Amino acid sequence: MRTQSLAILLAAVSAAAQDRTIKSDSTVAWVGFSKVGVMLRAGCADLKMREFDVASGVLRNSFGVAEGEFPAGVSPTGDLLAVRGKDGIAIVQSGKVLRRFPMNPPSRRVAIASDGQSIAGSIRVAGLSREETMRFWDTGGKERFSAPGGVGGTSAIAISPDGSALAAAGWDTNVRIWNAHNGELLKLISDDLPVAMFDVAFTPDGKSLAAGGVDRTLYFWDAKTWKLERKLSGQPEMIRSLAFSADGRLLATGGFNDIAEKHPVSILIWDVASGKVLRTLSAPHMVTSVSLSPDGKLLAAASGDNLVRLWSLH
Amino acid sequence: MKLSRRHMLENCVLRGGLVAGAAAMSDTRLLAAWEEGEQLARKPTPSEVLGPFFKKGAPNNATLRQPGDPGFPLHVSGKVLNTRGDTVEGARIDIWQANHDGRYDVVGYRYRTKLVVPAAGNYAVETVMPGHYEDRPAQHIHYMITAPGHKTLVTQIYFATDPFFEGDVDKNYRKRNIAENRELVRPVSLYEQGTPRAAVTFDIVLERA
Repeated sequence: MRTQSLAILLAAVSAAAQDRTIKSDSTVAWVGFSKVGVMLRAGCADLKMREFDVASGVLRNSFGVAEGEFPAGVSPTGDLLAVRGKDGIAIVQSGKVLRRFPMNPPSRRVAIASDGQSIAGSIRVAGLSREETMRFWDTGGKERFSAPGGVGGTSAIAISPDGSALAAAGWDTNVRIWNAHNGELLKLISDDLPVAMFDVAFTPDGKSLAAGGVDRTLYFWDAKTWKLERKLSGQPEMIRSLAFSADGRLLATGGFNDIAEKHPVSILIWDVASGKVLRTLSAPHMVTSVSLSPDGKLLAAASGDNLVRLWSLH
Repeated sequence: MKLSRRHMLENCVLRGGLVAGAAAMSDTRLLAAWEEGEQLARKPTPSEVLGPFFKKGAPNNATLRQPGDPGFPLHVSGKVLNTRGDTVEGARIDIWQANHDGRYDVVGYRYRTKLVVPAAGNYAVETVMPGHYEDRPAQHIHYMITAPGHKTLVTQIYFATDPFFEGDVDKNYRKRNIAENRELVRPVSLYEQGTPRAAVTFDIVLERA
């Protein structure tokens, strides 16, 4: 009963705090602003990528992928979409296939380097066990390396802005860092983490790696020594998604508080330098994706329905 | 390789005709047949998904159900074996599950344990039937088993009494692609000990590394 009234109260706060929404024809799983911030992209459950004009909310473009194919990853700005097909992964831009990475079986989850020239993906090893292999492919589908990736699957993958390092969080609670050029395991982050991380991201300057997950804590590691730099708490729920602003000054985190019922959750805007929470917003349910516009003035979030929620931050 | 009389007998029984036909077989063939029986003595336990809620550092605690906890009391027990059917030394079993309300404890270690399996290979926990939740609506208990010289096994058990299976596990075990293996949907014995209780056995067979 108390939970219910709290839910109603939080929903009311949410409606008041949220500036506007853009409606999509299908459930929005992922959101991202284009490089100049004019377009907002939404990866949807009907396997289509929709592009909306940010200012007017008008749908400008919608492109799907071939039948039987599934989106497996999106570049940080949503310019590039990794599509999973029978024979491998294709990189798609505005509905056109740019290049193909043949692989069998194709990865379920991939990260795309910011230049679009390489991808990393995790694949379950054949056989009874749940062991994973992390693989990295170059332009033209040439495999650069493959490396053991723990047991139980990969929750999130990130490639550093300069393309030199690859980070992957696993459901076994560990984060692994590889040299993206030769596949050398640079660091197994295990002792720092009691639980799994839902999302990982490099800071735009590439100096740190951030992760958030089940224990509601934000972790930052130095991207040279891989030592834990700091831990920030403040998110009232598990951290399901995170994204930096282009200048690296702001970090947005989206919450996930319950698998048994749908409840409102928080979206926090952090000042990265001080570690302080600048704003707390509310979304109706698990926030699967957050994105900050390139100028840091707008926040977009996906929350398990067919709306992209937008907030003005200044 | 140490083998007990029981193992030899089990293997012979598994092979069917071996006992009757043994006199007519050459030593080499007998050995080959015996080795084949050895390998087939126990099929490795299938794996299932790990899920997002594994947590390192759980205490070694066989009593997960505390007095006053809501939920149907459940006793889960079994052995940790290798594919020859021998007990495995040094095994550790992480067990975690949702409580009666379908929620995982992500702050502490309720309904989580890391059991140190004794040399006899037996394990047991006192718990409650896990609750249902929307994303994965079949009741289940997660397992991660490690042992020196063996592959880490990530698996789960489900319950034949779960309304999710609609009274017909053979027909419905693949419903919504949750359970992947029929043998992981375990039969449930219901009994009374003051109050109604449930018991499930689940033997774990590990592959060699």
